[in-house]
Amino acid sequence: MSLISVDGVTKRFGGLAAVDSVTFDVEPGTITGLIGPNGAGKSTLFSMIAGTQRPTAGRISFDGKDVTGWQPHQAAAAGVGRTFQLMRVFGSMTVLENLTTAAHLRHRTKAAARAFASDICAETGLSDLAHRPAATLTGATKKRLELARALATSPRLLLLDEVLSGLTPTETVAAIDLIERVHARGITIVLVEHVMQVVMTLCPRLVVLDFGKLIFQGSPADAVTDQAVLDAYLGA
Amino acid sequence: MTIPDTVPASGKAVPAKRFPWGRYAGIAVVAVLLLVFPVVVKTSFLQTIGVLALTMAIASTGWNILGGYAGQISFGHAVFFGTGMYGTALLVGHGWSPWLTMLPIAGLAAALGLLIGLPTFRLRGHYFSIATLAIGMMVMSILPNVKPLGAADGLSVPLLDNGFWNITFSLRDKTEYYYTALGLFAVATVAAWLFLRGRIGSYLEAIRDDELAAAAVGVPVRRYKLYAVTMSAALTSVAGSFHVMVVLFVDPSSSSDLSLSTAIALIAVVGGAGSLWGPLLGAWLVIALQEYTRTYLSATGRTIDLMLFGALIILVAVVDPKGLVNLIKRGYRRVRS
Repeated sequence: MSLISVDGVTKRFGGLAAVDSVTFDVEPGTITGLIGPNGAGKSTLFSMIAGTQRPTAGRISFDGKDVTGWQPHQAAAAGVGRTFQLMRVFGSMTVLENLTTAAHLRHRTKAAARAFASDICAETGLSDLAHRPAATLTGATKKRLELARALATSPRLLLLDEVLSGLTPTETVAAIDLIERVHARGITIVLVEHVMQVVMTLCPRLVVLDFGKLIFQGSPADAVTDQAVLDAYLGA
Repeated sequence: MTIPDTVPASGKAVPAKRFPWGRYAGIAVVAVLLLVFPVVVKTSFLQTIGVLALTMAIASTGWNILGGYAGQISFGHAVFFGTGMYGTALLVGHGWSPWLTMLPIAGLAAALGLLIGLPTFRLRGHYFSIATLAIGMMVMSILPNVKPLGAADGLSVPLLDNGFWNITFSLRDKTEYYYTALGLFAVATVAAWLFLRGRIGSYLEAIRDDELAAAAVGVPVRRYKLYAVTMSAALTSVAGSFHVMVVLFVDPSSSSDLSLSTAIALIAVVGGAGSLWGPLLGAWLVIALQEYTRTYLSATGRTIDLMLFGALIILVAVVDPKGLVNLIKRGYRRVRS
């Protein structure tokens, strides 16, 4: 059974269909790349899966259950972790406190949440910065913290919104390594990304959006020869 | 499929935090100062300031849970303070011990807070703040017409026999009122600390920092805001319950005035919003300033203290938006390192 099923999902803002009857499935344990030019509707689609926006039409299922229009905290509780394109760390908290807050979702006591958060901190290479206020971190580290915070909710599905863009080559390598390790733990990943090399190496499967419509799904090798994809990226 | 729950720690472990000696030393020093204050300071005027400062510190501790931790700024906490004042005055008039009135009246204030929060927390942003402002003003104009609450004349608390059980003491010296207030403040602060120390505190701070991100890590934002307003209203009401036993009188302007709401908020902000120290530090500073200006500039004093409040807000915003407590912490860190 698919972990997520997006079935004919549409999101309209007035007359504009930001996402236009998109249908695709994500199988458990896979990495899927969601790509498309600017304004293609990738982030809107993410928001609908994560519950921050309600679809105008269509159906979203998670783990076989209809979850269309659910609330973000319900999505998190069910096992959807996400990062934000524009980083949204808890600025007044330290790195460890950020992770502890997220860990509280599955760990009731403070001690247990903190212990789990410390593990995540070590796993994601944030230990040296654990007691730093999150507001003082660099952009790349904030992105790392966003990913770590999503991990601290013990998700089954991770929605990564441009966690690699704006990183230096060294940072990118480290981030890819981190994503691969997360995936190796059996967490399903859907990522939105502009850095094409990354998408090509990381994702065995791509979903391509253009003007809100799904124009392609399949392997990266097929994508680069697909006429619709080429038109979308290079202009017809 | 189960949710993967253990992480093989591949990286370096999180370094342990230094033992917070500073915090414990701070608590000890402040506790001693508070305890010896009425022993050293014998003037009735200064002791009265102490009693009022501690009372307002309790009220502001309540405000701080909602405003400082959860980031929901209320301009109407006088309503909860007034609930405590009126409720206790009324019940004591029916023969209750003031102590016994505190919890049920706090429950009533909590219900009132919930009632305000239920519709306004559906909306994000400043709607809650605006609603509290409006509700404070509404109550101010309704109260003078409510006969059972003494209308515009207000209610007097009947004079009870002296004793702790009645929160009624000799007026020659304020020491007993002071220590009762101090005890109540300690209880309120411990209650706030217990409320905030675990998951609830983390979640409220997450809501304050970023609601969207909070929801994304599983925080049911609206429900936690309601927890906060409930606890907040209850604590502020307890302060009102105690206050009416000190002044023995309550009327609309003494209980629900906008300037009282402002003072409750200002105290936490000046002292340090989002810190349990904030209300205590802020209350001593603000109340002392207020009482001194009122006394020494009697006729013009009322507007002067409001001007001082304004100046204080600007000062906090410029020097350190995290308030006095953060200023002290920064100073301590500089000395230590």
